[in-house]
Order: sequence, then structure tokens, then C-alpha cells
Amino acid sequence: MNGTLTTHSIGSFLLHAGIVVGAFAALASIVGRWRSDGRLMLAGERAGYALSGMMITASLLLVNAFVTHDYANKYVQRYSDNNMPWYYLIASFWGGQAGSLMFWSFVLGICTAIVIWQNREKNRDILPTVIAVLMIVQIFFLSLMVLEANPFATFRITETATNGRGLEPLLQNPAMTFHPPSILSGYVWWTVPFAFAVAALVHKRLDDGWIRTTRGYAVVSWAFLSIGNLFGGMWAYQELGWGGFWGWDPVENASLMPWFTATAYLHSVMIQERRGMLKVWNIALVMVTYFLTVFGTFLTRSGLIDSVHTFAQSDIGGYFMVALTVLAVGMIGGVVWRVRDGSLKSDGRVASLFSREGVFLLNNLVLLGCVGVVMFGTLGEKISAYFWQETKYTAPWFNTWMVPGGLALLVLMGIGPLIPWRKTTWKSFRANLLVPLVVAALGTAAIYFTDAYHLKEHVAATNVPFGEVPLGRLPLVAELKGVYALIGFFGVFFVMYTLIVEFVAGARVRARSTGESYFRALGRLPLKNKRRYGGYLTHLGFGALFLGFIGTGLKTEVDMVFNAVGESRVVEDTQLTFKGIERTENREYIQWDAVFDAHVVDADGQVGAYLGELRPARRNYTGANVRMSRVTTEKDEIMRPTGNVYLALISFRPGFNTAEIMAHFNPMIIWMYIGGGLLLLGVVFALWPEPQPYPVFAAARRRRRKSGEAPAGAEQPGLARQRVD
Amino acid sequence: MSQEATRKPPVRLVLGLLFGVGAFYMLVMSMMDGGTYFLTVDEAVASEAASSDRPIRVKGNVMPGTYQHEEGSTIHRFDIQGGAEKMSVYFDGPIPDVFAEGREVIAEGKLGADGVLMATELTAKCPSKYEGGIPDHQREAMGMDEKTGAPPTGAGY
Repeated sequence: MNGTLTTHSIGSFLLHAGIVVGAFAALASIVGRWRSDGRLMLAGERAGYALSGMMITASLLLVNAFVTHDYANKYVQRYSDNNMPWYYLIASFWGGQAGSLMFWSFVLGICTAIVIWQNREKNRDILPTVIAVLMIVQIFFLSLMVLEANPFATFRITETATNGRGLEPLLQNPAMTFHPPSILSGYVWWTVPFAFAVAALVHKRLDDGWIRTTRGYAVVSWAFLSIGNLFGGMWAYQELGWGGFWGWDPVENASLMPWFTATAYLHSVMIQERRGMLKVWNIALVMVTYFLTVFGTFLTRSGLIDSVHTFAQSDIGGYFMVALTVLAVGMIGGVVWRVRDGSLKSDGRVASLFSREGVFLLNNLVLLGCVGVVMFGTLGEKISAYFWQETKYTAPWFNTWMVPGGLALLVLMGIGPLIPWRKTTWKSFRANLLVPLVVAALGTAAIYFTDAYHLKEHVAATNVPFGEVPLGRLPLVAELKGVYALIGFFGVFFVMYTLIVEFVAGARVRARSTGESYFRALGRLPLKNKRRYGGYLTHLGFGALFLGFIGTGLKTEVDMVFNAVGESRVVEDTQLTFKGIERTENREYIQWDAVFDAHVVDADGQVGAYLGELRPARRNYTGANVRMSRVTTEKDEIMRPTGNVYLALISFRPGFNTAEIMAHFNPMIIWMYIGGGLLLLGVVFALWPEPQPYPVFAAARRRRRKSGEAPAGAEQPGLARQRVD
Repeated sequence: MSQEATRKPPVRLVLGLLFGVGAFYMLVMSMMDGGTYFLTVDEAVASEAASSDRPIRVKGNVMPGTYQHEEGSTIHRFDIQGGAEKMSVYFDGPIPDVFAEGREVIAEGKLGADGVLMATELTAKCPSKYEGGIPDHQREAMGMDEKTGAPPTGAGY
């Protein structure tokens, strides 16, 4: 008992001390930079490292408390119990408010340490300001923990509970283990580009130096956000039993918005690196993305909008309101300040929309349009209640805007690689475009005429009520089906073809110039220009993901009732034969499975190969850990290349062996997994470090090491070490 | 800066602004025109909005003795009441486990010409926060009923 109390006091102490150390680091850095005092700045750096260490230690203490079932800790008692396996115990770390704040500080601590380490020999003149910004953010989250949600709070009673309340069953899912930390890491990682942007503004270092330094962080943040959103969708698909993976829920939207602006930034930043243009735009995108990450956190926690996963009532919404206001004012002020003194002046302007930069610009505009739509739709409940009648904006409304937006992005993604920088003539553009367009058209025609996924029926049923709409109403009610599905297929073929050609043609050129064999050249090619081919791999991933999106539009859904064992029903090309209801029980829940045999069946009703057994189930949780839903639907599905048969048990009568199930045929789900994998692979490629990014310094380091000197930093602190450009 | 402006009319800026304003106008229009109205039964009966072709979300209590369902089918009929008015609901699909006469439900769908709400989605409110309903849709899956307020625990961020 005493021992555990000490652990908690250490944890709490680390949080309090963290605020002090952080404040010291910020002040030392700022004052040191201001007075050009190298030792003071070095002290700031060291304090930054110290704070990172403290945050990592505090996080390990919390994990330890979970793993050792230390129920004197309120947070541990609230979110875990004795029955949970170790991986869910660790996942409980970020299962609630206090812990997710702790996780935030943990990731930020890691980021801070990496930033200070990576910049020990470069960016010396702006690093103090960067550290100061990181520290201020860290202090904000530490204050929230200390004031409102301390993960180390203990019960003030002498008797320690012997068991905890457990983690919500719905959250005990592998995808849910990864979804929150990915999103959070994405949010936190973006703090680094933001901090550098602030420092660049303050010190007027507005060339592309800060951009090159932070590109890696931006890509990592983007990758975390992408994967986090994909995991979120996967969780919804597996756990919620409604057969879809994206419902435009406010909190999902909250993490999608910064993803859009981050994507825009990763593209527009190339224009600045190449052409020295769009400086204001890029810095604004970094700022807006950061603002949206904080806004997303605010939306999730404040309970402003009803959502599937807002936190239990919490008092920290107000703090975020203040933070958002300060951010907005500071960002606008900072950018305006530097625009007015002319230091953000562009080196040129986009000469022609028929150029790579023109395409990137369009892509940016579409992405920002998407942010606007998602923002208005998410806040629509409040806006409409204020101005007219309270209205809920659900998937159909979002799809009306986002489907055309997504298709536009898809097509732009195909055009990008086909068009050179600076300028091209309409004639050469047309020549480049012709073959991919024909190929895409042929592919689409093939899909249509083979009537895959009943496309003919879907297209015929597309409702485009041009004539009868009131002024201003969008002349389309878009879902990703019908004509839109067809456009989607066209776009996917177009993108895939242009990208594959990029790889093939590149390999051919390489094989010719290096004398390597063709396949060896194909393998070496991406390694030689990692960033470019990493980007292409990510694009391929998106093409694949789009097939999954189209699949959700083309899915079929049948509600079917089985009244006796042996009855058969057909969904799409699969015959389901009811085998009865089975009951199992363990200490956490009682489960009823409806058991089905699945066979392939063709259009004539001829039964073919056996596919396997499907057991959609309902669980009745008996433990004390349930706060959302006592009864859960456990779907079961069979994955096949064409699509998944997905069953959810709606109701049943065990004694009579009757069951009502919702059967979905979800086309092309497998492409979601392929797409996610390609996307990650692309990111890994793009980020894989070049052998020696700074050959001069590496050589210097080697010399120092050989002569047995102390490592860099010890001998000449601070400004003296500043890189001489 | 101004020199440049006088030399060359800012065509791109004007076009861009025009496009932006136009897109924003369409967005606001689609917001006023789309989405699902939240209504109570009296409001739904009284309001003109309900008779238009837009989906509405109506909240009311299932009137005792009105529930009709044939064993083995997925079609459910019942009346809901709110204030002085009542409304018939037709629903084809999985009915929530906590559905019962007298309970509060939210039915979403379009109002037919005969005044029957053709519901495409049905949510029943849980009688207590720990007897969660069965999800027939994502929101409901999490027991996010505003009133009964089964407190959602954090999904982590």
C-alpha cells in the first residue's frame, strides 16, 4: 500500500515538476536567444531533454500501474480490471481523458527530444524559439492534467478495491487499440512543423529551410492521421455491426479535417521547394492544420456536438476555447506581420494551370473545400439550430459534397504525374493524357458491360434531378454509386495506369542508362528517388482505398429471417443455410451464435463450393465494465476478392431456433487492406533516411570520435556551434 | 504592389473570389435544403417541412396497443404520440431490442402522403443507462442517447 502510494506521488510530482522544468526551458531558451547567451540556450535544450525523460517516466509509471492492477489509482480502477489481457491493459492507458492527456505529453516528449537531437548542429538560431513553443504546448497539457484530470489521482480511502471497472467491451478490439494512439500521435507530431513555422516567422527565416527540416515530421504526422482514420473505420466496421466504416460522425470528422489540410500542405510545399512560391499559403496551411488538431481535440472533449465517442462530461472544453482563441489571433497576427514587411514575398507566380504546380494548386483548393464542407456539416447542428430549424447532417448530405470532391482529387492524382513543372502546351498535355484516358475508359467499359456489382442497374437508377431543383440546390444527390461509382472506377483505372507507367518507364530508362537488368532496375528505381516513388506508392494505396469506398456505395443489404434449421437464403452470390443457435458462456459474457453454412451459388441457383461457417453472434456482457452497451453485436464475415459477406445477428429465439440477421454484401473490402498497406509502404519509403544527409558533419563526427574527443555539444555550447551556411 | 495591380487587372483573384463565393453560397443552400430535421410529433404534424420530400427525425412515445408485427416478417407498424398529436409509423427492418409500447422512440424517414412515416431507421431509448439497446446504427451502438445519457467512455482522444 505504501509502495503504491509512492508511485502515484512520483507520477503526480513529475507532472508538477514538468510544468516548472518546461517553463524554465522555455524561458532559458527565449532569454538565451535574446541575449545571445550560449550557455543559457544550452540549459534550455538540456531542460527540454529532462522534460522528455520525465514524461516518458511518468507514462511508464502509469502503464506499470495498469499492468500491476494498482487499483489505488482512480484512473486504473476506472478503466481496467483483473480479467483483461496485457495488451488491453496497456491500451487502457489512453482509454480515458486523463490517460490520453498523459499519452499526448508522452508523444510530445519524444518529439521534443528528437527535435533537439536532430538540430544539435543545424538551425541553431531558430531552435531556442522552437523549444519554447514545444514547451508552452507541453505546459498546456500538463496544466490540464494537474488541474482537471490527473492520471495519478488516488482514492482517499484506506481500503483498496480488489478489482477495477474494466474497459468498455466495445473498445476491446485490436483496431481500437491502435486507433486512438495513431490519431493522437498524428496530432502531436504536427506540433513540430508548427513550432518551426512560428520560429521562422519570429526570426524572419522564411526561406525553405524550416520546411525541409520539418518535412519528415509533417509526413509522419500525416501517416499517423491516415492510419488512425483507417483503424477507426476498421473498428466501426468490425464492432458496430452496421457494415460500414465511415459515418461522418463529428469526431471522425475532427480527425479528418487536419488530414485534409496536411495533405494539401505536403503537396503545396513541393511548389515552394522547387519554385519558391506560395510561402504565405504554406505557412498558413501549417498553422491551420495545427489549429484543426487542437480544434479536433476540443470537439472530442467538449461534448459540443453529440458523437459516438465524445468523452464523459468534462470541464476542459473551456481551456481549449481559450487555447483556440490565442492560437487564431497569434497565427493571423504573425502571418500578417510578415506579409506586411514583405518577407513572405513569393519568388514568382504560377505561370500556367497546365503545370505540375497548377495541378497541386487545384488539389489544394479541392482539399480546402473538403475541409470547409466537413466543418460546416460537423457544426451544422448548431448553425442550423441558431439560424433556422435544428437539422442533423448525416451521410447523405456529406456524400453529396464529398463524393464529387473525392472524385476530383482522384482524377487530379492521375493527372499530376503526367504533367511537367512550370508549363506545358495543350498539345503535349493532350498527347500524354490520351493513352491513360483510353485505358481507363476501356477498363470502365469492361466493368460496366460485365455488369459487375449490378452496375447497369445502379447506373440506370442514378437520380440526377436537374430539372426540378430549386435554385441553389446541388443538382446531384451523390452517393458513391450509380454514375458516380462508374466515374470512380474510371478514376481508379486512370490513376493506377499512370502510376504503373511511371514505374515501368522509369525502370526502362534506368536499365538502359545503368546497364542493369530490367527487373533489377525496377527494384532499384524507388530507392534512388525515395521521396518521389514513395509518394507514388501512397497514391497507388489511395487508388486501392477508393475501390473500397466505391464498394460501400455498391453494397447490398438484406434483412432476413430464418424460421427453422435447414432454411436457406441467398445474399448476392452466397447461399446461407441456417444450422441453429448455439450458446457459450465465459466469465465476461454470454454469447449466442447463429450458425450458418455458406456456399457459392450462381445466378441459376446452382450451389457450388463450400465457403465456410459463419457465426454472427450477440453477446450479453455480465461484468461491471459496461458503460455503453450491455449487448453487443459480433459480426462475422467471409472475405473474398470480389467482396465480403458480412452477417450481423439482429434477434433470435434460442428455443425455437429462429434468427433474424442483417446480411451485407460489401464489395471490394479487401482493397481497403491493400490500400492501407501500400500507403504505409509509401510513407516508409519516402522517409527512409538517405545514407548521409549531411556528409560534412558526418565526416566531422567521425573525426571527432576517432580522436577520442567529447561528443558534439560539450565543448562549445550554444551559438558557437551554429552551423555556418 | 499597387503598381502591379494597375498594370494588370487581377483576373485570377476576381475569378477565384467569384468561385469561392459561389461555392459558399451553394454550401449554405445545401445546408438549408438538406439534412434531417429534428421534430417532435406535434411539430411534424404541424410543420410544412414534414410534408416536403425531405427526411425527418421524429421523437415520440409508442402508443400502447398499436404495435403490429407478424412473426417471421421484418415489417413493424405502430403509432407514436407526442403532445396532443399522433402519427403512424411503418418500419421495415431490425427493430431495437429495447423497443416496447410506451417507450420513447426516434423514427427517421419520410412522411408519406397518407401521413404515415415511412421510417428507414428506428432508435429506441434505453430505460436505464446500463440496459443498453442493440445497435441498429453506429450512434445507437454506442448508447449515445441524449436523455438517458449512458455515459460514453473515452474512445481515447
